[in-house]
This record gives sequence, structure tokens and C-alpha cells, in this order.
Amino acid sequence: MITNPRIKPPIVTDELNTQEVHAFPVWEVFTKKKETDAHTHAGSLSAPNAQMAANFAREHYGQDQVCCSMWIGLRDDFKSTDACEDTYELFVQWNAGDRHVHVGQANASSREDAETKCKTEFVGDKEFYTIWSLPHQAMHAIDGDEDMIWRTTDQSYRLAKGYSKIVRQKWDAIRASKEVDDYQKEDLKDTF
Amino acid sequence: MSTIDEATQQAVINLCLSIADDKLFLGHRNSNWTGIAPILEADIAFSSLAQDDIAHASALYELAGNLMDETADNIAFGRKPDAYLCSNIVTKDDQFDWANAIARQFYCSNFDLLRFERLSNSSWSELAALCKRLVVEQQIQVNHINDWVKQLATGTPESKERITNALNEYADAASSMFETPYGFDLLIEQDVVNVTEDIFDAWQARIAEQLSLVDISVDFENTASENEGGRSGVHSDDFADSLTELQAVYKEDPAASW
Amino acid sequence: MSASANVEVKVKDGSGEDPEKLAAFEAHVQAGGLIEPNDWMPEDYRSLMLRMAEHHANSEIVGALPEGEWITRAPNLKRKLALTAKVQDEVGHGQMLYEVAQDLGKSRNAMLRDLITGKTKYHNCFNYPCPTWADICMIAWLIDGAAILNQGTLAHGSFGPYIRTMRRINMEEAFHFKHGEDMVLTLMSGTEHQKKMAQDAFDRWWGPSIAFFGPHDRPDELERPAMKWRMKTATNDELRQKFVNRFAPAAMATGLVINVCEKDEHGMVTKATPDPLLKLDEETGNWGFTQPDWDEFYRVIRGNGPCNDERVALRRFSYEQGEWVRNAILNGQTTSQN
Repeated sequence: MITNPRIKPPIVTDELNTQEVHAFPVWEVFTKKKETDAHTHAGSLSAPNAQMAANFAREHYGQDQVCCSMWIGLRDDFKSTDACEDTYELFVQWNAGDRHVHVGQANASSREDAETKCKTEFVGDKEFYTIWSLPHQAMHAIDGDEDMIWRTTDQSYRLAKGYSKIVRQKWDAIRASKEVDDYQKEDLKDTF
Repeated sequence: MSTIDEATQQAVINLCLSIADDKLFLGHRNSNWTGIAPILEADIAFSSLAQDDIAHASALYELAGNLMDETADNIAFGRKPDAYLCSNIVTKDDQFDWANAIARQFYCSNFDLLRFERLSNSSWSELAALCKRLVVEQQIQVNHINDWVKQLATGTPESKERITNALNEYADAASSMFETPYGFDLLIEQDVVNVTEDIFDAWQARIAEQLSLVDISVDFENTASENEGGRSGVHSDDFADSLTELQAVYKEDPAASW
Repeated sequence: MSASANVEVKVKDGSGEDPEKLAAFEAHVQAGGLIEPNDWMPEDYRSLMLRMAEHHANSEIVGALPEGEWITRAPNLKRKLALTAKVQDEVGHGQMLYEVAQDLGKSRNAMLRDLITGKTKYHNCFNYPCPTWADICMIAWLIDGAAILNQGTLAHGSFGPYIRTMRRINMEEAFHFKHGEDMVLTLMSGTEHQKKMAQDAFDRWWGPSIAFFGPHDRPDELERPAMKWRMKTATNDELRQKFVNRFAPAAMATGLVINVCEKDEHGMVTKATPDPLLKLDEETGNWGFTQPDWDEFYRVIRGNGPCNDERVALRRFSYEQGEWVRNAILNGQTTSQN
């Protein structure tokens, strides 16, 4: 049996001799909790390609809470200013500090055009902070109905609410048993 | 399976335990990567797969527990070594080598999917219902792990060599998955297990299909029928190490619940 | 288990910036305004925010290690699943925080390399040992309890990407904490052996828990950049008092005794005596308590704690073992598209 490095890791203090790997590109991940919700920005991750980005996204942002659909897009595809005729997915951050929320789609000839359409069709005269847009063809979608995201096996072990009832019961039992102890202490005092 | 005699009941229990033990120890070994895998994103994902395996094991222990009148935890943690029915592949030490971990999971995930597919038609309706549900989750695992094999096999010459070696290294142990637990023939007779094709052949075909995409070939030999291995409670030293760790706290105070 | 960036760092206060821009920035932030990555910010704000996110990320992935050791030994199915999920969450928090830091100008690789070569730090409390299962229970209850208090205030900070991450993290911390509370209550309502395990582990972790919030406030705390720019919204001493007020009575209600402890160089308790200062001040509602051993705190932070070497070594082992995998998938991209 080899020594488990997890318990006793080899202590090495000489120079790092590994070469730095080029950074993986960054992907933006949007999740939807239930059918009636809009896709909302969940966070970003680094992955070398779309397939791995989708695999990683499903197992991270898709497992924190119930999730029925995910969209994943390369960050660069939210920025490119090349003219690109497509349907654009439009996301608005209404206030600083907010997450970007999907507001709709627009057929547009470029990003600039798409964001202008976003303002006229979905923002109007409301205040907003920033807009993101992603050409639909650059978006990778996972539909939980066909390609499971949130598991059907009991997930209560990883949610706070999976513990509330049992914790309450245990507190009640501890308090009750202390009261019984105190009661018995008094009992003994009186008797002896 | 309307009425159930004692021999069939024991065979059914053995079947559940053999799958659950595979899943428990596979999840046990793979959960040990949580926090130290090669890439943070991969660490998180691999941990989800390990949790799925342990959660599937729990569900199967519960099913067996109903017949055994015992809790899932006591079945999972409290048996003597020779009462565990897992195959040798799931406890084979991966030496903290990512290629080993991926190769093992690739073989096991694909086999588990086949098992669940086959048991979805079981004459034991509770088992069929559970397996129908687990097939969907198992499919995610298969897609995920098949992609890892592809990524490593098409990455660098080094990674291709490493994953090829690992696939070969685990090929012998893979045949241990095909050993059958005691009473299995009885289950076939009663359609608890539906055999329409040889599961080894079916598994080998799926593995070969994936590996052919990346130009790797691995030879497998089904030595299961000649072996009296894990499924009969005869285990390796690596299993003993895994079991010692698994039971370390559980055994510390037998009167305690944790 | 998450940790704060409540370490002392030498910071500049933006004095090199255009005074008008700086004044407008400070007025905006002090009025509760938020900063997004593309907004103007003083260079010192950017670098302090980067260091704070990096330190927090480091703390998450190193914090995953002591608990990670116990995944294979968790005593039942639910605990095994929960501990795996908790450690996984910590890696996830690290991943999200490294993304925040990376967007402020330092690559993840540079951060991981600085961590394993000792150029950057992580939270001090992870340099203490976890010799029993009860330590896992205490970490989840006390350290995650402390982290929730701290991060609850960080979620009201000024930098958009960081506060969004804090909110997400806090949701998961709530699970970690409840799971910890459940485990501590289980031990304290269990056998004599379990109660003793719990008390011993509590003795090891009470000190690091109250030291968790960092050193004493300085007299000019509120004028320093982290507070002035609303990266932090509560001082270390405020948070520490809040923590004691919540946890001291709860610990006592379970039957745990709050001790002042002396420890050997391995972090094991050699002497434990009940905390003489522990009592409720009816007027202020505050519990009195003995301060953590600050000499020990600084000794450990300088790298001389019981487990500093092992923690860094395991991160390094992981980094070096994983190099070929990172290289592989970087190249595997073109052929693997489905």
C-alpha cells in the first residue's frame, strides 16, 4: 500500500519545475430554476472547449440548486464586434450588483444593432446598467427535460433545508433532557 | 415475481448488494479526489459523479434493506469483509493518477448503464422502477466520462499514452465486473434479470465504439465465469484498505449513531 | 468552510489618483453605490480587491483539504454524501473567487503557483489539525458559522462580482452550517465517547474560531481603505463579539464547556481550564470571553503552525500531478467537439 498523499503529502520545497499552461478561455453560465423563470447569470468558469464547459457547468452551477435549463456562452462571443447576422440572446443587468437576466431575442446584423434593439424592445425608458448579447448560434444549451441537470435522487443532504427539521428535533431533545437532569438534581437535593 | 421463496429472496438481495457495493466503493474511491483533482472545474464535476454513485448505492441498499429488515447504513458500513459483493475493479488503488481514475470510471459507468437498462424490465417492479430512474442519471455519467476519455486520448502524446496504459491496466480488473452473485441463475429463470444479450459482449461493443473514435484498442477477456472473486466475497488487499477506511469511524463506537 | 480576507495587508489608499475622480468614487461607494468591473476605480481599489478575492479563493481550496481527509472515513451514507458535497462546494467557491480575481488582472495559474510556493497566504485556521471525526463536526459548525457571519457582511460590500459570489456562497454555507450543527448535536446527544470527542475537538477549535475574524481593530480602522471603500462592512472585533454572543450560549446549551487552552506544537491541547471571563453582561447583551492567543496566531500566520507544510504540500502535489491533464485538454479541444 502506498502512503496516502492525502494524509501524508510529500513535502517538496525546491523550485516548481512545471510549465505554466495557457489559461483556458472563460465561459459565462446562465441557469433557470423553473420553467417560468428567465435564464439568469449564475457565474463563469474556465474550460478549454465548449463540450467541457458544458460538462463542468452542469456539475457545478447546475447542482447548487434546482435547475431545469442552462445556457453556456464563450465570454469572447459576448464581446466580438464583428458584423454577424443572427438572432441574439439579450441579457440586461438592471442595476450595478445585479445578475444579468435574459429579456428576449432580437434578429440583428451586429452586436451594436442587437443592443439597440434590446433597448427599444425590452428596456424602454427604464434605467439599466449594462446589456450583454450573444449570437444564438454561439450559445450552448442544456435542456434538463431531455438531458438531466438536477438529479432525481434525493439531494436533501446538500441543502440547508434538508437539516432544519432534524436539527430542531435534536435541540428540543437536548433541552428537554437538560430539564429532566435539572429536575432530577433538585429531586435528589430534596430527598437526600 | 409475484410470490417469492427464500432462495429467490436471497438471490435478489445479493443482486442489489452486488450493484450497491460496486457503486459505494467506486464513489468512496472517487470522492477521495474531491479537493485535489487536476483542475478546479474537473474536481467539482468528478465529485458530483462520485456523489451520484454513493446516492445510487443508498437507494439500492434501501431496497435490499426492506427485504433484510436492516438499515441502509448498517448494510453499507456494518458487514464482515466477505459479505461485501463488489467486484475488484472498484477498489483497485488508482495511485492518485487521473488516467487511472478516468479509465476505471469509464469501464464502470458504461457497465452500470447497461445493468440499469437491463433491470428496468425486471419482473420485480420496485427494482424496475428504481432502475428506470437511475438510467437517466447514469447516462449523464457515461456522457461525461466518455468525453474525458476522448479529451485525454486526443490531447498530447503523453496523455494518449497515459490513458491507453490506464485502460490496459484496468482491463483485467474490468472482467471482474461480470462475475455474478450467488443465485443469479434463479433470477434469470424468474425474469428478475432479463437476458436478451450477453452483457459482456454488449459492454465490450460500447467500449470499443468509444475507443475506436480515438484510435485506441484494448483487448478484454471475460474470465468472470472462472473466477471466484469479489462477487463471492473473495477480495483483494486494496479492498481491505478501502473497507478499513470506510468503517474507521463507524466502528469506533458501535453503540453510537453519527 | 470559507474564510475571510481579514488579514493585515499593507495597502495604499488611492493617493496617486486624480483627486476629483477619487472623491466622486468614494462618495459613490460610501453612499452605498456599487462598482462593476468596467467602472472607473482607483488602481489601489483594484489591487486590494484582487488580493482580497485571491486570499479568499486560496482559503477555500486549502480549506477543502483538512475536511477532505475525512471523506473516506465518514461514518454513514448521508454524512459521506454531505461531507463530499461540502468539500466540493468549497472547491466551487474557490473556482468562482479565482474567476473574480482573474478578471481583476492575475491569471489563475499565477495565483495557484503563488499559493504553492508560499508567496501568498490563505486563512490561518486551516493550519490546525483534524485528528478526529469530531473535528469535522466542529469545523462545520464553528468555522462555517464564523464564515457565514463574516460573508454576510461582505455580501454588502461595494464590488459587484464579489458580492454576487458572496451571496451564492452564503446559500451553500447555510447547508454547511446546518450539517455541522446537526453533527455537533448528534455527538452531544450520543454516547459518553462521542461527548468526549466533541469536547476535545471543541477545545481545539474554539480558539481558531474566535481568531477567525482576524486581529484586533486598529484605532483608525474605519479610515482604512477596506472599510472606507466598503470592501468590508464590519470590523473584526464587531464580528468576533457577534460570534461569541451567538455561539457561547449555544455551545453551553449542548453541554460543551468553553475552555481556555494551551496547545503543543502539533496543535493538540495540553491544558484546558474553563474561561474565567465567560459571562453575560446584561446591560450590553455581550458575552465576555478570553481573547485568542495572539502570539500563537502570528506564529502560525508566519508559517510555523502545526499543518502549514502539509497543506501547501498537498496543494502542490495536486498541482504537479495535474499538469499533464491541463496540457492535454488544452490541446484536445479541436478533435473533441461533439
